[in-house]
Amino acid sequence: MSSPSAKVLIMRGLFDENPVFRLALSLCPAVAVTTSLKNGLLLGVAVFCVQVLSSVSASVLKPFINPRIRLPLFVLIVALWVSAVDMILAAYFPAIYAQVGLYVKLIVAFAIILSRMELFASKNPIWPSTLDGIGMGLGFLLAMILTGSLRELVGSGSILGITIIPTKPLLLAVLPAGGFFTIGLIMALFNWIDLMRGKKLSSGGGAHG
Amino acid sequence: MSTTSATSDSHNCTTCPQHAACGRQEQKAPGSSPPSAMDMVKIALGLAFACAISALILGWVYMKTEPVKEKNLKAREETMIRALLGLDEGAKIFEIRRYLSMKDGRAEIGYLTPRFLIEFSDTGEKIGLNELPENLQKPSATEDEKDRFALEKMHRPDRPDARYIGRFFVGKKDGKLAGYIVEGSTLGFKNQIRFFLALESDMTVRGVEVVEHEEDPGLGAEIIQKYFKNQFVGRSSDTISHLEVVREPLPPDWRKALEAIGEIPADEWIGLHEADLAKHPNIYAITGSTISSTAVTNGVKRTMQNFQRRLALLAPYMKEALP
Repeated sequence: MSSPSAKVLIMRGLFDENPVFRLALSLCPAVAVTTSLKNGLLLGVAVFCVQVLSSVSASVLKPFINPRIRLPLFVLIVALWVSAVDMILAAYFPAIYAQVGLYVKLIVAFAIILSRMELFASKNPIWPSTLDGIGMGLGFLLAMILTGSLRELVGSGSILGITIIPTKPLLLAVLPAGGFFTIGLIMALFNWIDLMRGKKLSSGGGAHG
Repeated sequence: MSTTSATSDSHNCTTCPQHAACGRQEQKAPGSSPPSAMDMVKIALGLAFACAISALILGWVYMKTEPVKEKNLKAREETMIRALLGLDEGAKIFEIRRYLSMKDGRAEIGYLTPRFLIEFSDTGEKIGLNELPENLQKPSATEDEKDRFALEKMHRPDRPDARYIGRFFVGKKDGKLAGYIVEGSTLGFKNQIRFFLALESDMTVRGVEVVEHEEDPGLGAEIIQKYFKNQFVGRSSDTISHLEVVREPLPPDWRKALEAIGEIPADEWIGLHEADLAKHPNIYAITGSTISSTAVTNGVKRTMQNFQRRLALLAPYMKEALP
């Protein structure tokens, strides 16, 4: 099986199969964290690191992994990288960690990471797996940035804590329900762009090859 | 499930009770047949090996990051303490650590000041006074070294259960007492809330700062907000013991005044707002988080009470105990 080109792999994670807006995975932390752009950005970067490291590890180790225990081993790999990222963030970025520390630990349970390891990295060579990890990580980061900035702007009238609109236009946006509304609206926007470009709507699930 | 479904592409071998009939053996689905004993041993060894490698990597990362983390925490505590007491870099802050040792069901308490280890019996009698060795009197001495010294001194061979139980800080500026910081903790909604209680030398509260907590964001986590934690500022030890938590909305003008602490130094603020403090004798609970609010209030009350008792015990030795 020949692997798709680097551009295709990365664009797929960013747009065609964006983990949040296309696959609707990891919505819970996405909603919980994106009350401000800063928080979203930080979790996005943490997920990006864990996704790339985990995809690469799964791809490197796949000749040694007994298929019967691949899922426990994948979980172990994710847990390993999450713990490492968690400790490094806590040590070198204490101010940031104070904000997102709670959610960094939750990355262990992110469906998107395990799903990319199982669907892609365990079947593909190292380089495409790395690109796939980068693409999906960037896709999640993009989702965090879009949702975070939109919610912060609409809910608190600011971006990165800098006031843009002196009032709070719609407080609902920073509440949990507002998170789902925002993500839903961006999802609709993604679908609309696809329709405009004359593409068939994707039904989600994630590419296998 | 009938065998006719075997032709469908979506059919999954592992769920088929008669999978020999489903005609898809070439795709050996994992878990389709029980592994042999040899396989099981291999799998178990493989998993154990993977866990061991992961543990090694994590251990290495921990060893590299832990000292940095400790240093950050110490630096953060130090800035917090100075800010709470309104002290600049010129002022001195002394740590006093407390140890408990049990013998035949009788408690002995040890206080480690920068110069002495003072031991008291459970009735409050002084039973020992040891001067610290030179190297422990230096500011570079670590907590571990101090703990080891104190516990070795208190822990004679028959006392294996001596341990560190808490600490407080004494601030001094130009040789004069500039206040205390007492570390306290209280059980919050789920986990312990660790906080610093800052006191003037006359036991008036200068401030409360939450150091560590795991309350829910948006609800209990509001205890770190000025409008809640600053409600304790300016209360005397007597009013603290009568504080109650009320479930009433925080009046907006009072909230505004509370949020100004920090811009105005706490002692000045107290002088300006004596009438307001009398007008608002209680703690307004955080909306939706009465448990967290009550937890902090009770923690502050208890810490205050215990600290006054301890300070009374230590008072005669304080002068010589601090350099």
